[in-house]
Amino acid sequence: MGVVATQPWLRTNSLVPPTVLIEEVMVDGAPVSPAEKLNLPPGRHQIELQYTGLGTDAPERIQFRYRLIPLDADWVEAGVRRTAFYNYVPPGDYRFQVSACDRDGVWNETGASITVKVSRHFWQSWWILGPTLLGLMVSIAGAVRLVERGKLQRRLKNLEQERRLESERTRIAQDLHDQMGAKLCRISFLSEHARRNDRLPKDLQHEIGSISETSREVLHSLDEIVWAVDPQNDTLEHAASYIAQYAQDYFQMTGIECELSVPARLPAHPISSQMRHHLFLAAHEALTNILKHSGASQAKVSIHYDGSALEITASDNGAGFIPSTNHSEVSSEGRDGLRNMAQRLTDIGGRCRVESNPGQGTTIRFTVPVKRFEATLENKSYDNHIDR
Amino acid sequence: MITISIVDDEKDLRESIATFINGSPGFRCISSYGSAKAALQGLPADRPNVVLMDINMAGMTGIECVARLKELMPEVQTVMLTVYEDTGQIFNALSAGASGYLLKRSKPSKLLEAIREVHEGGSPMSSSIARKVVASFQKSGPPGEKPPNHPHLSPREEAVLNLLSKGYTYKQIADELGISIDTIRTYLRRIYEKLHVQSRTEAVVKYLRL
Repeated sequence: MGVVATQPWLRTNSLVPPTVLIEEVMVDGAPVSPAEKLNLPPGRHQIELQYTGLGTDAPERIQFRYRLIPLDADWVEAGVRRTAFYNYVPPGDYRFQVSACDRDGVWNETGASITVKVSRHFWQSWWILGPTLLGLMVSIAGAVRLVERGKLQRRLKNLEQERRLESERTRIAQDLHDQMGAKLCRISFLSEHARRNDRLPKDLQHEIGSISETSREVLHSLDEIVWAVDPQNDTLEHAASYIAQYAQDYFQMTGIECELSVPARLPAHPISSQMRHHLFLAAHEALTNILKHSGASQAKVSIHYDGSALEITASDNGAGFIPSTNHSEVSSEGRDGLRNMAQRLTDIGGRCRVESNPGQGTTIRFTVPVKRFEATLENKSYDNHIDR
Repeated sequence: MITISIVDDEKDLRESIATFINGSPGFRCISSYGSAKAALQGLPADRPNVVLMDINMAGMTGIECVARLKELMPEVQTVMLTVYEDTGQIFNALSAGASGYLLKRSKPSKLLEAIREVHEGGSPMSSSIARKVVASFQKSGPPGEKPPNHPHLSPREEAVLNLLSKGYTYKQIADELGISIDTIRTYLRRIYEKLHVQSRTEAVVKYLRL
């Protein structure tokens, strides 16, 4: 038999703070059995804690405060509310503490508490997170660098290869020209000398004259090849000036008067040797058409550059024709010529337009985009071109 | 009779050109040299009217040879011979004091025309060379920055040069400006002289700055 001793004065002593109890814990809206320890799986959770205060004669007046250490830096004054709500608790170890006081303001210093543990995803652990992040960053940076370096190296390698290819092409062309050029010149001079011999029969003189002429034509072709492959000539000014001069020379002694219209100065924008080569050959084709097929007495070659595109126009006052897809009225040679020009311009991203009408001459217009930046980088590779 | 000397390091070619010239009435090849050095030693004694000079010679180039020859014999006329239509090289030779140039692939009769023309005081200029000349006078910068005694082109000379650089023929220029072809030749001659002066003053300035 025990003795029950009550201490009624204590009950009435308002200096005794109320007892606090954590009644219920809800995680994600579902009650979990309240224990001293709450273990939560990784992830985002809503936590709701309901608590209550006991031991006073006026429970409705009990005031509460709580905190989740270390998430809350200070007590959260809850007033008479008996619920604490946390929308998101990051992974970690916490202690939820709730305290109460009666109307006299005496706080229950001990209160009630519960430990809360929110687990981390494996990748949220610091000892993984740190090195992983670092590693990830390093590998991204490394990968980026590798890719960039790879790109740069490939680009440099390409440039280097292009440069080597070009200087090799130039060397071969120049060797050819130097070796054969002098000998062809010699044939030209000697045969011309021989031709003048009055004692020779006329037809023999004529034949020797043909030898002389042919040797110069070969020389001319060699000159064109060397010009086309020499990287020194890869500028707008060079190309335009060469084509203009070529046109002027081409119509000399042909009975066709050639007028040129070229800007006095053109920027030294680099253009690729491929573009130069195709432009020249297309222009050559246009001049040949005028000479061989147009029957014109006047030709005009204009070169125009507007800062983004180069336009070369070759026009004549000759017979003209009806430009159509099959060019049926044009001789097969002339047809091939037109097709060749169009193909060459297409190859360098340009356009070839033919404007013609029977009896009203022909205008052939080449337009090709030339960008300022096209080869500023390539230009550097020309620094050590072959000096000739 | 126009007397001619040939400077070219290709023996066979030198001899064929000499043969051709000597077979042409009114022209006589009086000497030929296989190097610039030998030419500089021999030419002052030969005193030819016109020198045919190869641009690309092993050792001293034809361009340097012309510059030195102009110092030794200011009155001699030089026609540069070149296999390549290399505007840069040709322009340099003209700046150094040459009066004309000819591509080796030109018809041999053209060679005789060129010799006669420079001998008579003419200075033929192609449109591509005219473009170089225009650029050269423009790049000298504003008047204040030019070295003293730097030559200027007169407006008339500039007009001729501009039309030439646009591809006009002598005849078209004559019609356009209302002058005779002979006047154009005179202008071109003066332009060449100014070009020589310009390249000389530029060479001096370059030398002084070193």
